[in-house]
Amino acid sequence: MNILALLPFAVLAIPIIPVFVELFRRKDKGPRKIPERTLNKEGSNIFAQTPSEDKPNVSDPDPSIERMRAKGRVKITGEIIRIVGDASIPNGLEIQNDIVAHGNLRLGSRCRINGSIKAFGEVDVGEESVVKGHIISRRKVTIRRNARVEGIVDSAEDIILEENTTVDTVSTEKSVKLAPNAKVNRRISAAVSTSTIRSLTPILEPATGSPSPKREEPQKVEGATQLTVEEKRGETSNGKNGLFKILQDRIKSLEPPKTQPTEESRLKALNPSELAIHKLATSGRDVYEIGLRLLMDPVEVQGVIDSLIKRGYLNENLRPVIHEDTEKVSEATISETKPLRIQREKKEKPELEELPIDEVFEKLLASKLHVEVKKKDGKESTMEAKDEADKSATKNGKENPSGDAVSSWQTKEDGKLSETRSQREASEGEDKSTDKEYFLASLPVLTLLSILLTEVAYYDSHVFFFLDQTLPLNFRMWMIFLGFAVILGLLSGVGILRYLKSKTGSTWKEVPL
Amino acid sequence: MIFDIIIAILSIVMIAYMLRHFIFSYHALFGAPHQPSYRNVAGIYPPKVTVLIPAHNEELVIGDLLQRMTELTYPKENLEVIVIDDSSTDRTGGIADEFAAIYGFIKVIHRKNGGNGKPAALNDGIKLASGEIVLTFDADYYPQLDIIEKLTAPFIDPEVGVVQGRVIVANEDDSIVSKIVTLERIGGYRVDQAARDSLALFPQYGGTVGGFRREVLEKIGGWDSKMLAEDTDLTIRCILNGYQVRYINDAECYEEAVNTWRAYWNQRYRWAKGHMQCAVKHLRKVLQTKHLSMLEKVELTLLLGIYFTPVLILVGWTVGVGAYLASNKSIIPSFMLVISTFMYSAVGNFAPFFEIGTGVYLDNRRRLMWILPVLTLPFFLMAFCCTKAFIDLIITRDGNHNWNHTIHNGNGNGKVRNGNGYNGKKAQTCNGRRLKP
Repeated sequence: MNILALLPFAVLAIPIIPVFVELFRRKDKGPRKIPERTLNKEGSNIFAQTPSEDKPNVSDPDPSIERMRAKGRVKITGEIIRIVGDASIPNGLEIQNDIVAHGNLRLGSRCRINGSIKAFGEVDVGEESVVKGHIISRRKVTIRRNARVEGIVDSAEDIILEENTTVDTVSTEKSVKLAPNAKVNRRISAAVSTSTIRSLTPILEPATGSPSPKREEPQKVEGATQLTVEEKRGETSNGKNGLFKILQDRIKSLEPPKTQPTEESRLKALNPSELAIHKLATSGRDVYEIGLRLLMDPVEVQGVIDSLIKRGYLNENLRPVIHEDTEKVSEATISETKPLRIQREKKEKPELEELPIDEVFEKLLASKLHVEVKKKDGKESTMEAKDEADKSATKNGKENPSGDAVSSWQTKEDGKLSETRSQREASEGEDKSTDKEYFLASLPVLTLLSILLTEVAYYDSHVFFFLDQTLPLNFRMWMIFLGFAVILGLLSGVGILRYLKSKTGSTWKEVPL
Repeated sequence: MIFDIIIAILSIVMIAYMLRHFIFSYHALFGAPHQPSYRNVAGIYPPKVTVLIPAHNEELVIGDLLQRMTELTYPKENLEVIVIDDSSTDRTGGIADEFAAIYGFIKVIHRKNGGNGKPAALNDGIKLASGEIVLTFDADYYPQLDIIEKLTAPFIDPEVGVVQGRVIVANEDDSIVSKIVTLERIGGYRVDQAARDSLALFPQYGGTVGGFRREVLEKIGGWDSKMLAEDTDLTIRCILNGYQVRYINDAECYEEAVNTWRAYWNQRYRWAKGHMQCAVKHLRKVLQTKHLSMLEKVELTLLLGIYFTPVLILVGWTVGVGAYLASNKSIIPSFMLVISTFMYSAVGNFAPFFEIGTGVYLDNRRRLMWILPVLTLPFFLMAFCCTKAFIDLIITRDGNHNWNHTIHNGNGNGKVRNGNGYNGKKAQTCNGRRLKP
């Protein structure tokens, strides 16, 4: 045997040479040294006092309070409510579970969630709602007035805290916006900025005192609830924005008042601690929290609240009571306030039950109309061609552009109210992208199949004998299969690369259930 | 023809694994995370945490770990450390008792009638645990000071049921075996686990430097003492129950790797057999479950079947040689196909060279790449090790498996603690307990 025949095997030894070099003349600096700690000191010590700028509205930075708050943790129930798509939770609902929403999530007012919330879209926590756990979202998070989140609010986009909100900690990769009297108990972590903002939505003025802003008369309000959409449309023939403004005003007038301060003159009769408890109670704080804030025993706080109720400063819902005398004195102002109070009492019941369908329709319309109308401006004609169901709506739109959207919404009302056009477009787009993904996913399989067929056609040529005969020149079926394999293989590679590149931009994967 | 069909099937399996490793490596290098990181809230969310430390004859290492536990930055009010002395015949129990006498948050359970290995010990530990989150550390581990904060942060997400941190080999200078383990760990954690987490797939709980939501553990019935790979079993059960597993790359912890071929064989044999047990137990459920997408099912199937690939490779070799000796004509023209397939297999499945290379590159230890060809040794070894495990699993299908305990001599955390484990200096054996009252 010629020993030179072993020469090719010597090639295999080449990669081994560096191994011996490294093993016997070591230059690698290992093992890699793990840093002792990589988190900030402040972050790791939860009882450390946070700097004052991190707690813009905390009145009492007593560490004992911090400790007590830190112990009030969320209890994860293990049962998760999963919602695919957008979700809106009606007012006053109490949920014991964690919620995972794959779209936007909107909590109505006075909801109580005893778990955590995770949403892939935006989260909107309604007024006076309470979330016992954490809120995690990759989009904007808005905490409405008087709402309370006992856990961490973590978002990749802006976090907006409206007036009188209380949050344990906020953490965002963008900005935190704080309205007056919003409170963060422990830490604000914002990658871009922390800013204060003015009131986002109008606050109702006190019943007495300075003149309140112009509001619709009670009769008008009652009458307006009876208005049909057609009537509204007639009123707004001036333009889309006009219609939007009217509807928005209309909805604002339907909103319940959040706080209704008692007359200042009556409050003067209270001692300072009663005054403080009154103030906190009317802003939606519970007895325990008032105790924490004022460093008082909750039983004592409860006693003061009871006495305030007995003396007529608060009602049973811890709302300020407006004295009858005052009503007589300033009748004109009360005429504005009274229906509002009645409405507020009505709102104690679930809103969806008592509102007529027209009102629900109007609310939905007002929230979506502005966007819808703007969208229409750009692509009215394309929408005509796309959706046959919207043809009639588009016809109306030629005469009255704002009516276009309204009739479009009417069409939805007939069928499925919750399905908006944008959602439908999105779902169509999703279907297309899913088809594309299926196609891309099938490419590697087809490639492998082609390779197999190539092999079969090459080694067992009799299988494709007849087909081979039909081919011109010296072509054989295995060549064709091989061609397929190469093309499909290339396509697979390109597809995989494009898929990975497309994923590079996004920071969140929506996991299909 | 039969040989060709077998080889074609094997090729498909190997190519699937190869693609998987390519995608993971690509993503580790260039991809953006598809899941949020909860690093911002690390340290803010302080749930009650229980750390379970099962220990059987670990007197050389348990002291260092317990000393480290006392130094952790996590608030001790919310921390509970439970040492489960699993019928040790050395001073393990005594050392743990000494620590427990000084530090109120350390507790010790002495198991007199030990048996059934680590899962049974952990099940005993969980009975005493009061934490909302349960983390586990092996006795030879040596964590970062703020590791608990990092590991608990993802639990603010209600979907997360399990977390896993990263393991770094501390005694890689000991021998060529510990070097190999170092490379495998780098590839496995820095690329494989990280990419799986980043792509919203399924990182794996590795049995240590990780933990669970206690409620999840109770719901799924704790550790299964019949399983040799109790960590993989628990991971799969959590996934099947709809919970997410998250991997935290910057929650790092030193470990003492095996440094002899025999220990390497024993450890890998146990892992292989355990994984195969899990595959047999869960594969059908994985394929039938409704809440996983097709991609997730494929990934989970590949994960469960990873220790079958060395067996298939051995079958492939046998078939190839058999076909050659039998003068099968078709094997000669397809020789190149077979060779290329198995060359891909070599780098595509159990010894994912490119994955490890990527990990080494990302860890900024490029000089370590010089010893990558050494990985061919464990690759060949694993073909036989896994095949033996497979045969043994078939023979002992009733679940009576022996638990091989890996012996630790303190070369890992001892070196780190003494501060002389770096820059290639000679290893110094740790004496065990270092009590700092």
